[in-house]
Amino acid sequence: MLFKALNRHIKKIISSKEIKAENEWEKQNSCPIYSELIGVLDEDLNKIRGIVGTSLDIKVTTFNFGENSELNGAVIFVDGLVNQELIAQSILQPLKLFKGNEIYMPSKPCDVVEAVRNCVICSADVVYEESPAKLINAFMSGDTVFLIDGFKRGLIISTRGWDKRGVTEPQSESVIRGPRECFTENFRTNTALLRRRIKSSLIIEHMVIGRKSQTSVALAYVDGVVNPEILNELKSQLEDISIDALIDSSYIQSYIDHNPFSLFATVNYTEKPDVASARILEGRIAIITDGSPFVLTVPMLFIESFQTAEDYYVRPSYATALRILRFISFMIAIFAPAIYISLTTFHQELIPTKLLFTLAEAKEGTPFTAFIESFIMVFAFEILREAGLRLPRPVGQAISIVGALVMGEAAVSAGIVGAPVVITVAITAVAGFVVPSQTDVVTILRIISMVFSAFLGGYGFTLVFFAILIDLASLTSFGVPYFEGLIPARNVQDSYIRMPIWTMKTRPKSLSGVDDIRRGKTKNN
Amino acid sequence: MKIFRVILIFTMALFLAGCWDSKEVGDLAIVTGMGIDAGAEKDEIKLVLQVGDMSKGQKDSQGETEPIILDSTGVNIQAAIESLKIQSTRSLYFSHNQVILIGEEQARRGIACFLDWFVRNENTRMEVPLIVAKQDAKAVLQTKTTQNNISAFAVKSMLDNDVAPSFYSKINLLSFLSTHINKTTCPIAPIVVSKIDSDKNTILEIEGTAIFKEGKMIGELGIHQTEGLMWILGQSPKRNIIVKNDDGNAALAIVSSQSSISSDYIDGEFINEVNIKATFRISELAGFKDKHSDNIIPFINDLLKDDMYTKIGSAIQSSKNYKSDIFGFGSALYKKSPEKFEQIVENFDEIYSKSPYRINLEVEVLDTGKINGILTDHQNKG
Repeated sequence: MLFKALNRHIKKIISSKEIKAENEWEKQNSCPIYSELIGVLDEDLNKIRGIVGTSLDIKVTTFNFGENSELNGAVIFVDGLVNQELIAQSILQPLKLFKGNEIYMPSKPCDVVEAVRNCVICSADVVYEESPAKLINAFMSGDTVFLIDGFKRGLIISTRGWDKRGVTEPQSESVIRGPRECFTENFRTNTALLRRRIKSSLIIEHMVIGRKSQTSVALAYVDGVVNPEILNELKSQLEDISIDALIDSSYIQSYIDHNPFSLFATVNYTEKPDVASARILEGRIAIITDGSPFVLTVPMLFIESFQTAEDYYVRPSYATALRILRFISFMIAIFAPAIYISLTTFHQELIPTKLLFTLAEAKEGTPFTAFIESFIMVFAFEILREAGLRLPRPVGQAISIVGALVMGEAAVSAGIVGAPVVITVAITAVAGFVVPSQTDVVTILRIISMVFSAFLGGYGFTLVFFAILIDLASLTSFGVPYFEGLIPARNVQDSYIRMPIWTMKTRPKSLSGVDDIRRGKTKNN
Repeated sequence: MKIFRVILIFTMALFLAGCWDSKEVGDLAIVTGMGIDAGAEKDEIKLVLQVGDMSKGQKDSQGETEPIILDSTGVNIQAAIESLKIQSTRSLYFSHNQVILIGEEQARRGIACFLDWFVRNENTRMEVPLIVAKQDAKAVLQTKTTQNNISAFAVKSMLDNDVAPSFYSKINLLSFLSTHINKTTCPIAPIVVSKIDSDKNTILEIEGTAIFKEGKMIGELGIHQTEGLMWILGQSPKRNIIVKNDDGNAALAIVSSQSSISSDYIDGEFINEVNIKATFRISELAGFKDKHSDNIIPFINDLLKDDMYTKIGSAIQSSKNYKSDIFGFGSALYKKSPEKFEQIVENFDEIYSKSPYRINLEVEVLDTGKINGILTDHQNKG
């Protein structure tokens, strides 16, 4: 509730600034109008050079061709983005061999471009283009632009071929059983990875976002399965994005997240194509961003954090056990230190007598209160985690060994903290990693609940618990309640438990469109 | 405006309620056992507290925590606690008190009024066992048994475990007081004694049952009578009963036991009846060499009946002698016929002490264990 109010307020402030900024940007860019090619090669090339600037990597090669070399042509490409061998084979080589007298007639000048496209260039992906802006965009994205002197349209030939990372194993969602492919930074590879999994009726819609970056973004969904309202909502939101550069998919995430000030994310992501396609088949929409190996999926439900790809590849009983374990771990990760604090400072009567003795003996001689002790340990753990995360792996290991020794052993034997605190924080830390996509939320909630427990004991702990519940229950992601799927009466096949795949006969109602039968007889046959 | 309302609710939730009394575990003196002994003056009591000693901390403590005994006198419990507070560096924490021990002398002087503190204070528990200490409570609290440094734990587990009379675990502060305020029934409490055994180890032992009347201990039942009492009030199914005669002896495990009492007042006579149904399994047999495996069961049945009859009779007789109904015959009559109860309640003790009783036993030995026959020293080689 508080978040929502804050959200509205801040959005108001931002939107007024945004409009101003946009106007200024338009003024700056409204200088020379160059809306169509002039038709004189040298002038056109000069114009283009004027726009793109003198960059070292933009290559403009002019040459003569035709039987008597009477035709002037130029190819423009960006070095590094193209496969030069391909340019040589599919454009230059055929052109040099082209003796076009029989089709070249000065009276019909347009035919040369057409003739070259139809009879000379050996490429499956060649298009005409008249707009200079689109031509520039094309060679900037790795295609090759071919202009012929005397003609007002050019050809865009697909010659993309840059150095890219291959399809590797996923880093953040590794599995023991199941596909090991992972999305890469390469846009086309990512769409292909999805296409390979859903061959029928997968629609991949392309759009370009980012004024300067001109980043390709694709929406992938299955026609009929997707809820059209959600799709339209998403499209209009993506079109509204006004940004200079889209460096990573998370930029989009922050624009389409309806509750940016809630702790919980309402846009999910994955780096596994199998996960993305499974989500698409439940009616969700995947957003693929060029340059990002993480594919966003919307709408997001809270339960998705507790479902892993492997749940569906192992036997149902084991998957169910794991899922319950994840829920418990999530609770432990948030509340264990808070429960420890409230039990040891307020509700000692709830601790079994002999355990209380152990705790009291451990506490003996340590200088801080339970809250300060736990806070020191949680804080130290977060430092270690952050340090270990960003460092090269061998150094990271050294850090964790030193950290573990210092935290675990030395802190206790030096009498700075008691052993029970170390145990509590350790189990908390490990439990936090069981639900990887909620780690950031867990870290913040853990500290909040610790503070409340330290001041108010069990009552404070309860307050935090209900605040979280209220926030979760009031969240929506693209109109779909965030808690959908955790309501026991509905979709029980795939929530707290995971029933066999064949029991999940329909798609989740709130997500999917008309085609909601997954298994068994469909409506059509 | 809404945002301010939300903030207001949050602030109210934070400041208008909450647990203000935070205390760190390390600052507590955890009381494990409380004892009430007779003070030097007639209206004074001596409060004895057994507190776990945490001062050694985690590093040095090998094994179990040592106890510290604190005592002080006062006219009531709180007065004694107040004078202890002056000496103590840590705040006394009563929530984990395991036992309330009452020295026999103080028990005979009267204890009901001192139990007020235990039920009024929000930090104490009602399910704490109430026990009479044979000498004084301090002696029992100071005892270190071979297995437990802290005698309060030892006493508690003695009462809770299977071997000891199970019905003792039902006698706690709450049941004691609810019996105490009953018009006719008298409360009971186990008697614990600290002894030195033949190996010069200090041991704690349950030595019988104290009978209270009007808040004062007026008498006690011995071990045999206590066993009779147990048959009436509820027997532990895991115990073994030992029966013997001149020929041999037998240990019989109780498989199940049900007991009920009923009372009636007919023609000026308060008639009480005890019905017990019990089944057994033979755990051990020795002797009885003239008995055959076919007729051993009826024989054991008879032995058992005799044994139970004597013990139960003795318990009832003894309670009649003390003119105190510890079994709840009065309540049984009240449940059956409140009008008749009204007739006798004025003069209940006198009527009870002269009332006849009947014991109905239904005893069955179900099982002889893994073997049927009897092993004897002179096995018949025929």
